[in-house]
Amino acid sequence: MKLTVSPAASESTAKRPGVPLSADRKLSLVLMVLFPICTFAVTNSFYKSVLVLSMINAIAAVGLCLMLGFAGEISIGQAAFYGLGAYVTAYLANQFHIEPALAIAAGAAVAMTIGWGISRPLSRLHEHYLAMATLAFGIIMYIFFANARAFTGGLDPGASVERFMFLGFDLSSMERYFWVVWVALGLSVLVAGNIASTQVGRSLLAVKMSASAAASVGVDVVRMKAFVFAIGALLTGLSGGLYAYFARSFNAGTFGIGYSIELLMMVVLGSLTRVSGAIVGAFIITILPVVFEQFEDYKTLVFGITMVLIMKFMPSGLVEGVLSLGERLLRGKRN
Amino acid sequence: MLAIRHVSKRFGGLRALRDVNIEAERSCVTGLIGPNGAGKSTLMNVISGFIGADEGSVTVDEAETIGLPPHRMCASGVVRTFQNLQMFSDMSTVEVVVMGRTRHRRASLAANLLMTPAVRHEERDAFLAAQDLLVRMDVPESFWLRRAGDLPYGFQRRVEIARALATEPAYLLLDEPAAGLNDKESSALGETLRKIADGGIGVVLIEHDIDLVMNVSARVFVMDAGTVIASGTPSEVRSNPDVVAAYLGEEHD
Ligand SMILES: Nc1ncnc2c1ncn2[C@@H]1O[C@H](COP(=O)(O)OP(=O)(O)OP(=O)(O)O)[C@@H](O)[C@H]1O
Ligand SMILES: [Mg+2]
Repeated sequence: MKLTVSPAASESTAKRPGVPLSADRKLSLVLMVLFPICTFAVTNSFYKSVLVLSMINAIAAVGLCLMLGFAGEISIGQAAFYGLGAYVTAYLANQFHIEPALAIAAGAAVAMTIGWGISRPLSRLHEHYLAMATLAFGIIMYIFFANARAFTGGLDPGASVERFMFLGFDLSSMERYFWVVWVALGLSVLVAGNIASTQVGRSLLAVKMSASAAASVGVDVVRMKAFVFAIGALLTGLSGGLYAYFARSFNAGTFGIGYSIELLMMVVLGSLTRVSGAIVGAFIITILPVVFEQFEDYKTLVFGITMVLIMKFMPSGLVEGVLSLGERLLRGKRN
Repeated sequence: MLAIRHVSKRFGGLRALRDVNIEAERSCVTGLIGPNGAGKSTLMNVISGFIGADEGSVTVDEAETIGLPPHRMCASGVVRTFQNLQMFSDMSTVEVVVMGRTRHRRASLAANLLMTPAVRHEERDAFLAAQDLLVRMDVPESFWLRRAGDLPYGFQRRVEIARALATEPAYLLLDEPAAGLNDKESSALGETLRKIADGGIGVVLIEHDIDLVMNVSARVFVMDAGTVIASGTPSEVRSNPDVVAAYLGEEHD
């Protein structure tokens, strides 16, 4: 019987590359459950806030994962969208006293619009040219953030926001704000997962694997690139807006190249083709500096070695590496 | 009818196409042969919208299409394959063919992001259609869920054609589909092309495998140095002295 393979079955064994696609969704779900468990488990409020920050970073990393991992569009300027989200949120909240959640949404929308706008001139560039152009964009935006002091407060005094309120409830304590970020991450992961498992994600992958072939079967390549830039900027902007209420006071220093590189590390470390990988990568890159705090002197060294080891032995990312290791162990046991 | 009229294209000082006129009818195979560098692939790039022409027109069933980008050409019913295999290697084989359904997908971007029931429905239909095509192209079921890039070369070629057919084209342009195939695979391909044409599609076949072209084509065009030097039925072309001259000393692969 030829036509018994259901789409669901095909999906679950589809190699992209390696392990089943739906495994990605399952893993994301597990991670979303693990975050609350972790926050209840740790008593130290500093660790609680690190956990929240790692979820904020995860949202931005999921955005970059769609851009780089799916569509193959590298961006070394994501900090610009992060900053846009944060500053627009702060500006709207302070000037017009609008509902914080609305301010964050508006910040994300502004970031998305700008992401979409720059995608058009960038859509003809490939690889290192694209890397250079996005890097330049990131630098220009950083200079803007640092100097447009009327709007951003520059490096000093920086910007600050009031407490995070939602419909009159004060959700600004770390315990409560955790859930705000958790919901935002959950929604982001859900949408990204939907992209990954439908025609949209497949089209992004197709553009990455062969733009000519994609175009020849009817994919509007420029439109797909614009879309992925927009969604990547949207998620990163959202993450920036959440960061504004997380930090409450921040300055332009946060939105330099350093953060763009960190985001890249999160995505490359976790997995290029899995949404869950971006979450794992974000978690690790966020907590590593904290873990190595005690070994201040060796921090950079240990960090660097860890990265090199992972790149060497798990080139397609930690999640991929651990999954295939697990598979091998299981098979070993059975034999 | 797919009609190419007075198409010219220069690459700097090189006149890759010079006043080319070619016609291809629905329901039959039209062969396009010529020595290396004759301009066959360039012509295909022009027809499918990958490069612009300097002059001339391309009409698909009377509608002017020159200047349209590739994805719009696909919407106009023209689909192509590539001289160098262009596979979505990391997808499963069936997903590669599902990509061919792009222009028949109706669900909006937003609906996809929300994965509405309509989208799930469309996904299932696309997978079923893709599976049908894989059956038609004789790709064994055991390959369907495998990484497309891991399939034997000959099967990847078939998957590429299945992907093109999934767009439900009026015209299918194939750039050296038999390159790298053995004799048996090549004659099986000929059989398949005939069946595709019988289904109402106009097949344009660029090939160096002259026997294959002569066997399946209703009409053959011969290009050399950017111009069409001969056209006619396979037997007319075979006995044309210009064609013999153009191929003299040429080694065919
Ligand atoms: N993008 C390009 N820029 C410059 N020259 C090109 C370009 N594409 C093709 N050419 C040149 O145009 C001429 C025709 O090339 P084309 O690829 O169309 O030949 P062909 O008939 O397909 O040959 P083959 O049988 O080897 O595939 C060649 O001399 C080639 O070098
Ligand atoms: Mg060619």
